[in-house]
Amino acid sequence: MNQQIEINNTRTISDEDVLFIALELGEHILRCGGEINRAEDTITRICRAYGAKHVDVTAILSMIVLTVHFNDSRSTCTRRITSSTATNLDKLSKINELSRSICAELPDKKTVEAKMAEISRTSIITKKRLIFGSILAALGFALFFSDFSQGITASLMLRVLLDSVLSGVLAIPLCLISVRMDKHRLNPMVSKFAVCFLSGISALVLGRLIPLCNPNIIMIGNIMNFIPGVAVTNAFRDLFGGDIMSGLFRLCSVIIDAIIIAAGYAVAILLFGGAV
Amino acid sequence: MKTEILRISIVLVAGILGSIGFALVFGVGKKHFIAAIISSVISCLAFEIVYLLCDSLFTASFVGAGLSAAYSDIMSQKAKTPATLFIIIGIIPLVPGAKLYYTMLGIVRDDVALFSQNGEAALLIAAGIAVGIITVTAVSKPIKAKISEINAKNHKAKE
Repeated sequence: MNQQIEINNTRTISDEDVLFIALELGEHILRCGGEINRAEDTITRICRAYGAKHVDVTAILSMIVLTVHFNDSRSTCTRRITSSTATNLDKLSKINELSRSICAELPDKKTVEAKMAEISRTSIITKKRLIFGSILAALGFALFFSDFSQGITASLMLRVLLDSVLSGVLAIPLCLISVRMDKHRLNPMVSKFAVCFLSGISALVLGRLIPLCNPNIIMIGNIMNFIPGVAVTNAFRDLFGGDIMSGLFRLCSVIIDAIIIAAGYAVAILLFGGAV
Repeated sequence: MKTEILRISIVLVAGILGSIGFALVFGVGKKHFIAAIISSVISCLAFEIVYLLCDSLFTASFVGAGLSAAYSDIMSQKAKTPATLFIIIGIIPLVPGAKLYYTMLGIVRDDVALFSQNGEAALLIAAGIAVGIITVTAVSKPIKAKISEINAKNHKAKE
């Protein structure tokens, strides 16, 4: 386990550290929205770059099991991935760049840790960005899913724009509540249900207060912010990429998410007597 | 026809706005932002045009997702970044949010027609997206392997 591998005759790194570096990157790839395939591939490449003769890696969303055969030793390590974080595509891209540089430069554990800390510290996802993004997504998709089948008239456009703006405005408190709930580590299922319920109630109240607006469209605009689009895409990519277990795992989580979202809105609509 | 063009233009602008929103929420960096939005423009435009021509939700979402996935694969090779970054933003406008909502409304209102029509449409779109992505992934994998093999051979020959 503690055997030292000589890299470029100038630096030494233990087997344990190689496994740590590979697992650290693999874990972060999974946690910020990467596919299983990518995590396994990155881990394999890093271990091979550090001189591994054979690499066996199996990853699922909650765990990575890695066995690496070096010249005359074998190390196995398991990493349990306890908490999932929100999708962060910028971080995923930076980790991908880091894995390339690790394979080329073969740095030591401390350097990799420092670089990982820097990537986490310089995350571009801020509260302002989240709120602005949620407004745009709700506004855009309320307009996107509006019904234009009866023809496009000035009065229809006015109503559609009103629905879109209301949907965008409603996204602000919903996003803030969602962020606050995440901060307090509330059960993700409960917080999703609560936010969807609040979204439904608010849209229905707006529908009663402003008879011109269509609460259905306001709700649809906001639903898009909760629908697990990333998980669905990754589930199918994993499933048909050969990672059946992870694909099914993601698919189950997507179905449960969809049921919870639907239940949140359904309870709100039922409280209003089923009329929208 | 004019009304259709106007409708597609409105939907396209709305899709772009929504995709920009998701690109912000998912943390797409400045470097890849425009390329990611182009991915959603491709899927959205392809979906609308194909749906207009053949009136099939499955085919429209299949073509939309397939073209977006192919573009994402090409961009990921060029930018040396995961294709996920472009695919996720590209697929967003195809996600059948409204159909899922009306399916749920059908259950709440005990309206079988509303439930079955929208449920079926949502499933067809989801299946189209899945098959589109899988087809492109299946085709691109051996192509990528072949390209890297050729590159490796060329590299060795140069050495």
